[in-house]
Amino acid sequence: MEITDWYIGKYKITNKVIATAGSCFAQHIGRHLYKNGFRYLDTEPPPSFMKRERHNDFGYGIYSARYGNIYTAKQLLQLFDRAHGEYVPEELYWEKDGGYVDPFRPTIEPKPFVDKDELDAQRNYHLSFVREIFTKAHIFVFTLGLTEGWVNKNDGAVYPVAPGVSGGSYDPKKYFFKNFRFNEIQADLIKFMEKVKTINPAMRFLFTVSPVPLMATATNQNVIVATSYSKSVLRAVAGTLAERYKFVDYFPSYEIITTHVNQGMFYNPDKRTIADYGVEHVMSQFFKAHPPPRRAKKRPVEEDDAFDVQCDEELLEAFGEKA
Amino acid sequence: MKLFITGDSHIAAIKRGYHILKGQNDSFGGLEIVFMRTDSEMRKSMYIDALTPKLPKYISLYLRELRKLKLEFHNPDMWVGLSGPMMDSFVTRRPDLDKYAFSDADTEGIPVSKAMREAIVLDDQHHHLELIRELKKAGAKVFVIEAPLPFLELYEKLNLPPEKKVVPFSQLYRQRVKQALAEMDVPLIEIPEHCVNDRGGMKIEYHVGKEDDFHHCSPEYGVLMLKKIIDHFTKVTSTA
Repeated sequence: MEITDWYIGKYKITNKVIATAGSCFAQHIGRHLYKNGFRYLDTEPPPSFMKRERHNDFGYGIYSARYGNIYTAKQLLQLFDRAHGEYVPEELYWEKDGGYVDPFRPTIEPKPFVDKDELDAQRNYHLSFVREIFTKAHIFVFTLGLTEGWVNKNDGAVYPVAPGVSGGSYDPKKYFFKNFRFNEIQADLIKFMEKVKTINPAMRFLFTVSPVPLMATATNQNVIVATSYSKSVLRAVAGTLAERYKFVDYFPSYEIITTHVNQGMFYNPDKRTIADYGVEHVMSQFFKAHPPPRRAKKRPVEEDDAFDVQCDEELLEAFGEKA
Repeated sequence: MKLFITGDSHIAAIKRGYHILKGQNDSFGGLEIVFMRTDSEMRKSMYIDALTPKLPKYISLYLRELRKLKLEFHNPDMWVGLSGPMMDSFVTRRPDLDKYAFSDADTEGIPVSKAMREAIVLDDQHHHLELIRELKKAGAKVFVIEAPLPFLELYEKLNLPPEKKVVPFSQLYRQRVKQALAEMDVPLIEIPEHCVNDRGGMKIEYHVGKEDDFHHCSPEYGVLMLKKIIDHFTKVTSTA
């Protein structure tokens, strides 16, 4: 059964400059926008002499800058604040294997930075590109991935993975687990959009919800129940904001993949990750509402087989152990 | 002892040096030296296209060519000498090199982390390191002949920024490859010290002299390098 009219599109994006961020499903969106000739913004391109096969290992070409996966609304807000000097977290380095990783993107490089200076140089450079995104983009696409996160007790910093998983060490006196609620997520996204609009009043936002289920949960619930809760909250927030603001749209990638009508056919055999044809199907619905630019040539991207979605969610399995 | 010397275009200077010495009735320290030619397609794939998907095919062709030369891989008196590893010019001759900062001390440019630098070097040398692994797997004893350093005066002509960028990157490039070779227990014959100038590049008098050539050395340099190779292996023979 072919379901049509999944999505109408609130505003035109075809010739607009588009930036992406979010949980790992957002990588597919950015990649397909680029591939189909949209004005996809990549403010932080790889060094010209780095082989293409390495780009993803170093966090290049995944999103509009090298921030890695941003799972929660609070992380997104804090990224904006960190980039604009409005928030300086007290914990800027996590030790790992004799070096240091950035707690806010601990897997951005395959090896830890050799010292704090190297990490600082990389972070400062990166944050300059985050600022650039908010001045250059016309559309900011954000895929909401999780409600669960790990928070620093002292200053409220929210991390993409639990401390101790990809660096640092878990200390229950320093960190706590938080399952963000509807009101908190909504408030964070509203605050984020307000801040962006002070810099770029014309910015529009497009929210999606990742159809990738949780691999583990730090709540005491069954992971399927926790997934349902998490996705429901995120979906409700996205829907509420899209209803409330003219400049916010919602694209139902979550529904297209997860609807019972499709009987899970868009999932890989692991029943969790999305098959390439599932992603193709989602994006084909998107392109019905937003056709690729007429004169745009299809751009080469890595073969689908070679494209490895960089997803920390496997690492989140450790959440359960720490709960 | 027999040395099979092969590799990229930098072999030419050494081979010319060999003929100069031969003309002078040099005995080469009692070593038998054979230069192996490779056809241009194989050379391009083996020594230029570092990440070509056809690399395994060319490596096996390469091994076959060596066997044709009756190289007995397991003979303890036979060595295969390769030039090519440590040839950094595909990276150091990039016109945009000055955009990047390769050390913490360098505050001008895009910061390139140590992990990135390592990846760049190991990717650029992937083909050579693979070939060495395969040769060793086949039982051959391998040594490496260091490729010439950049001719900084010529880099300046190309508007490349020698001191600030080329020299530091060339140094860390070679350092990383040296480490990889040491890990594989592969001896390295380094450039004769007196061929290096104060700036950390090749002395210009060892340039091949062709205007449009920015990195190859002269036959005179080939003589010096070959003598260093001979010295190394005569010492090996005498201590064996």
